[in-house]
Amino acid sequence: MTLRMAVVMAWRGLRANGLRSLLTMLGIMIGVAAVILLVGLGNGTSARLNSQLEALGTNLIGVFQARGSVSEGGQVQPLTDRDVEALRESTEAPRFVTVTPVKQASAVIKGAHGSWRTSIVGSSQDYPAALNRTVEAGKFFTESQVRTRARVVVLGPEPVRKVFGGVPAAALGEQVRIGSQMFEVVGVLKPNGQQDDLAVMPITAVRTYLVDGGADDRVDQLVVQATGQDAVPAAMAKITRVLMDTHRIDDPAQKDFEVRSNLDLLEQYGEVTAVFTLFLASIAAIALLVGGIGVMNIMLVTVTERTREIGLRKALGAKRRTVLEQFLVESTVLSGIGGSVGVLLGVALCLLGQRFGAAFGDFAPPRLSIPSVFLAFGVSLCIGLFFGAYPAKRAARLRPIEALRYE
Amino acid sequence: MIELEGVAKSYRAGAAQVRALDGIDLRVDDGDFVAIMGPSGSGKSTMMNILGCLDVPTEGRYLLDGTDVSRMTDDELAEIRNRKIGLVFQSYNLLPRTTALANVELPLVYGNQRARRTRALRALEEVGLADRAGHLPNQLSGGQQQRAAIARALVTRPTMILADEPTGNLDTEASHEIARMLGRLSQAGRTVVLITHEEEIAAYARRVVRLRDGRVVGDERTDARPGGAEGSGEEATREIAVGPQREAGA
Repeated sequence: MTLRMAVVMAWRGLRANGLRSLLTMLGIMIGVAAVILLVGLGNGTSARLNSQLEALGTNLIGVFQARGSVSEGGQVQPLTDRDVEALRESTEAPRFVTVTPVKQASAVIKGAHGSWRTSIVGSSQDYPAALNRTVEAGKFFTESQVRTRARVVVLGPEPVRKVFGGVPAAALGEQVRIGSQMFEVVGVLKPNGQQDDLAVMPITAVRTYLVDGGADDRVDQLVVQATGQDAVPAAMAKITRVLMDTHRIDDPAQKDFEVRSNLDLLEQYGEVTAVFTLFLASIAAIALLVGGIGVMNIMLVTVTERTREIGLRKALGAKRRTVLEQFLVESTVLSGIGGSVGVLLGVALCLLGQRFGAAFGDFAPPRLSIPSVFLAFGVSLCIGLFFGAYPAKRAARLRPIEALRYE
Repeated sequence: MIELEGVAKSYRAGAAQVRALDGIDLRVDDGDFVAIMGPSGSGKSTMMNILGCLDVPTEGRYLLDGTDVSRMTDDELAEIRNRKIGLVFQSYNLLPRTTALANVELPLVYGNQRARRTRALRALEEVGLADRAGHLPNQLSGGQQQRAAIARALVTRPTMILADEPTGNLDTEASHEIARMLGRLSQAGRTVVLITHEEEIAAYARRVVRLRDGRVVGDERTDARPGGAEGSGEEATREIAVGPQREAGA
């Protein structure tokens, strides 16, 4: 007996009890659709988190001064301009794109229309590139302005809103008082949703006018831009070597600085969202399992109802294996059809969610996972085989004389 | 050629051992038409199960075309049933929602045979149902259903057609029509074994074997008819049709 004939026979059997077959398929259908939709939702959430993190730059490495004490009583040396120079001048591979110092302070910005306390960032001309920021209006300050301690400032969106009523053009060229000095607004940063309440000025200006009279060469943080995401581990190793050298530390356990990449953060988030997706998928898998039990239930009923037919088939020469195959094919066709419709439903729900999900507020649109589609469909077929196996075995074991006599 | 040698079958019914068949010796030649008769409880059904290879004897040997089938496994028996035995049941046992043609094809499907459609159509022609090939069982009369069942039994060209009370559910006219058809098949060279409790149906056979309490208690040949094998099927049918009356008068 060929598979095609077995499928035709199975189809006839299922058609004979249309409503019952339909209801059983519904169970599998809902399970498969749920797997596809929930995995899609999990993927969507994870994709959104990733894109937010990637917006910060996956090739960025931050260097911080170690907190607390260094083991074996070593003294913590601060990060300084010397470290910046050493990193910039090192000829070792891999190359760095930029090495940007960051010094932080806090001050009140006072303009014509109001004042606002914000965080002040002192940095170099590389700041926008290093932190993935774009200038919305005007220009960022230049290298020569850094060298000459120019009293210029680039405002973030939040101070523009508070001090200039939110119009970037209105702020350009205006003088604002920060601390005891007047600064010219040369540019306005575009919002990035992460850090918008800030004002950036040359690091030399921060040191001279805001912190301690320019005598200090300390920096709070270094941002190093590697050539790409792949170069990050090698770049991190190089940073560690160079800084251990400038800080005269031989034992890596005693280093007084920390090197961290955004990639580390991305990986941590990745793990969290993978667990989240798995959790959603396992809820859906329970629905699928319940559907499978439905298949088994209905196949047991079918085998009992068709005892005489099984007896006849055996009397006409059907072997155990043939009867087994017939009922396995029937349960697999049942769950396979349910699975196919479930795939269509799940994919449709995902697409609908992508199109209309935004209407429900802040909602990460589901992202259809093609492997999950194949997996869910494959699992639905396996469920047919697995939950059909016991009823089919019972059918195959029936003895023809008793089965023929069954009423 | 069918040979039973000392065939016995016992069942365990609760604590008691029931001996349904108690040492049967029987030989049926090719092309013969044998009726097996007996009152209920005589072992007819057990005989049918054993002859039909639906069950195996507890003692003795059953040779079908020289092959001992009495110790075969379930699957081996399934193959023997498929190739060597054409079963006809009292309740026709056609698959519902399946055309007469597809029903007749079924044994060929299980036997992995080729040219199924042509052979099934030829078998339906043989029983005069070619024009009903596309009908479903519930669109056929009882007699027509039983004829379709006979077509299904003979489509594999089996060693023996084994009919178990084939007229039990039919009216008198249809019963005689079925009995005549079995007679015609036997005249065409097929071996037919008919299990029945109706004397007038058994009278169509050329040999009547009587069972009682699991033993053969009578075995007579009744075929002293003229021109059994000659002439067309139609003529043979007419001759056989007068058979029962003559028997009854004798």
